[in-house]
Amino acid sequence: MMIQGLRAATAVLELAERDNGEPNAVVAAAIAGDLRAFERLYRQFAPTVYGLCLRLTGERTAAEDCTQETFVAAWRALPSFERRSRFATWLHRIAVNTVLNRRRRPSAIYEVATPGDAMPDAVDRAAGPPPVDLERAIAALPEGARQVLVLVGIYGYTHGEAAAMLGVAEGTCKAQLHRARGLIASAMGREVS
Amino acid sequence: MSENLRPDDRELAQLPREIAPPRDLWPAISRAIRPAPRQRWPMALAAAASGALLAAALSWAILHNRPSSVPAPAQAALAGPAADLADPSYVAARAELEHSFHERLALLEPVTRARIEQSLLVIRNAQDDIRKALAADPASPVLQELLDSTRHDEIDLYEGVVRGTQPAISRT
Amino acid sequence: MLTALSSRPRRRCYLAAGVLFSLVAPWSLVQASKSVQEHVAADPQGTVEIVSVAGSVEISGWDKPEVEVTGSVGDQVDHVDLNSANGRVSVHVVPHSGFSHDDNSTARLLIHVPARSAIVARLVSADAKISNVSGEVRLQTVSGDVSGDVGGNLNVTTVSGDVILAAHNARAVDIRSASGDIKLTGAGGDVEVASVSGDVTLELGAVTRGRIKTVSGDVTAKLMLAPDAQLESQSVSGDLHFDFLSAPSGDFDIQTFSGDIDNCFGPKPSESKYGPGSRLTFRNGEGRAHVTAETKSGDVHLCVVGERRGYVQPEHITRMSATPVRVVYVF
Repeated sequence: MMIQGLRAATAVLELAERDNGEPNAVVAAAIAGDLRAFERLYRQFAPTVYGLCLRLTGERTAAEDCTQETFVAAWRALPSFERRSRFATWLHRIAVNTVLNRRRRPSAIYEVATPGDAMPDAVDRAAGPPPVDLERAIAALPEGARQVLVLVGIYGYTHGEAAAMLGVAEGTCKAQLHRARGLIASAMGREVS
Repeated sequence: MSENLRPDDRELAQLPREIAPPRDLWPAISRAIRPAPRQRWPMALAAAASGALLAAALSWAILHNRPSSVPAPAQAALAGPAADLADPSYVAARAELEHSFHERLALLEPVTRARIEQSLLVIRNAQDDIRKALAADPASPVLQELLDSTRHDEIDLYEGVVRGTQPAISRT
Repeated sequence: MLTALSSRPRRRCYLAAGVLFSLVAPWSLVQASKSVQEHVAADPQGTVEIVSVAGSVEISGWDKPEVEVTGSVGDQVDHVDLNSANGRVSVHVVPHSGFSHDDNSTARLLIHVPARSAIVARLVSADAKISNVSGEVRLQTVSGDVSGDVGGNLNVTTVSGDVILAAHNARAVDIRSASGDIKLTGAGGDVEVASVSGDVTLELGAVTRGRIKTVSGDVTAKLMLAPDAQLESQSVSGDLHFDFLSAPSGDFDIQTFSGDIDNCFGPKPSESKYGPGSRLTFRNGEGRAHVTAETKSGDVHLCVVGERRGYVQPEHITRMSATPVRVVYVF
């Protein structure tokens, strides 16, 4: 382990394996260039990144690509990680940027849920609520609405934080969230509030 | 979340944030990043720091007059590596971990203690061996990786003893 | 009035005293240890957490939804705490304050657990033996030995204890020891084994991701590689012996600074003219496996089980080097 900062050694001494989930020693080692330490970070955070990528893109192949690209980008950017924020937060931002950058690439194919996969916008309530689960409903949302719903509704970012990550105005972010909620409620046969 | 929680918000918040990738993506990631190893610490700077660390560690060893089954000449090797240790925060944190390691080592049976100290000696000797080889071939990525690996081993050993002896000193 | 005892009655008294003493003495020794007999209902697929310091712990799976703890503890053990809540049973051997190495601090326990339990054990110098458990086993010890037969995935960390385990259904294994030897049979999938000076002996199934490292201990591994397996191994001075159950199909990259490389199913390395070290890089077949090995002075031996050691030039080997005969790189 390249041991540039062993502050987490104190966490070991206190028998907390990690300090609030932050693997300080491993991050420090990875910053110093230790690939093995970075792999440990991958093992720890891959489900977090993949989950975020999957929800933001709505599509598995794209989510895998984004997860790989996120970790590659994180490795390259590690020397600039100043540890003012938590590593997971920093990784999240890279993941979001990776998703957005894929969309902006002219040669990239940005997969969205096909019309056949998307849930209908309106549901015939007389027929009873459709067997739609929330995950599918989220995946079928329009891209902008889905991204805001994922960041704010699932991952707990504030509107301001989500807007900054997505590069939109905060008002736009709020409007997209309202739209997302409405579409999901319709898809799941619920009252739109 | 700053929004007022509504039933559908609660549902969203309860969705799992972590989803395991369907396959291991690390091989592709490591292939993408491996060709560009990161800059290592300059050897000159490392050499300058190593003497200070060794002196500090030796002073600690003498101060605590720690008995050991390891022969006296090996004490110098055990006291600290002639390492590429440029970062003061590393030096301090490492010394802290080493201190706790030695404290916990004292809880163990003499035979176990001797085996652990022997393992540490094996690691330190390996590090010295690799450093000598690096002196002849400083650009060798294999040697550098092996050196990194032995540092892992050393810290794993410290952590193994510290964490492993915790049941001996805590009460439920 | 007392009269002096004649010699015959005196002998009888001595005899009686001797008999009495021989009856009492063993009991007084037994009183230094306390027996344990506890049980609690348990989730058939729950987790059993065991914390003990010294002695031995035998963990055996059974078909009851119950955890039973039997055995004996020394008088420096305060009590054995057995608790069950939320699908988790905890068995904690609680010492009196102060820790000593003698028998008074030991606990020798037999713990029966539901066979599908996951096991989490934290021991210091207690030996552990596991049998008939199909859940995941996570075990940490300093000097205790670990042995047995495990049905699920494994994560074992020891500093100086030996690890001798069979894990035929394990798909994820992580075993680390510093000076203890490691012997593992039967696992496959994701296998990570690390040792400092202990020797490592592996007999594995199909490995998809393998990482094997040692400092000075030797590694002997018999294994099969999955079609797109990644196998990485590293040693400073220990030798690495790999016997593949069938010739792996993929890329090989073997490097050593001053050790030897021996390959019985592919090309031979040559010594570099340009500096220290030698490297053997070749491709075998059309597969996607990737095998790397790095040592400082340890030797690397690659072979296929049943192949004769010695140079063999199969027709299907494709050399990575542009030069048809030599594969040698300098570093």
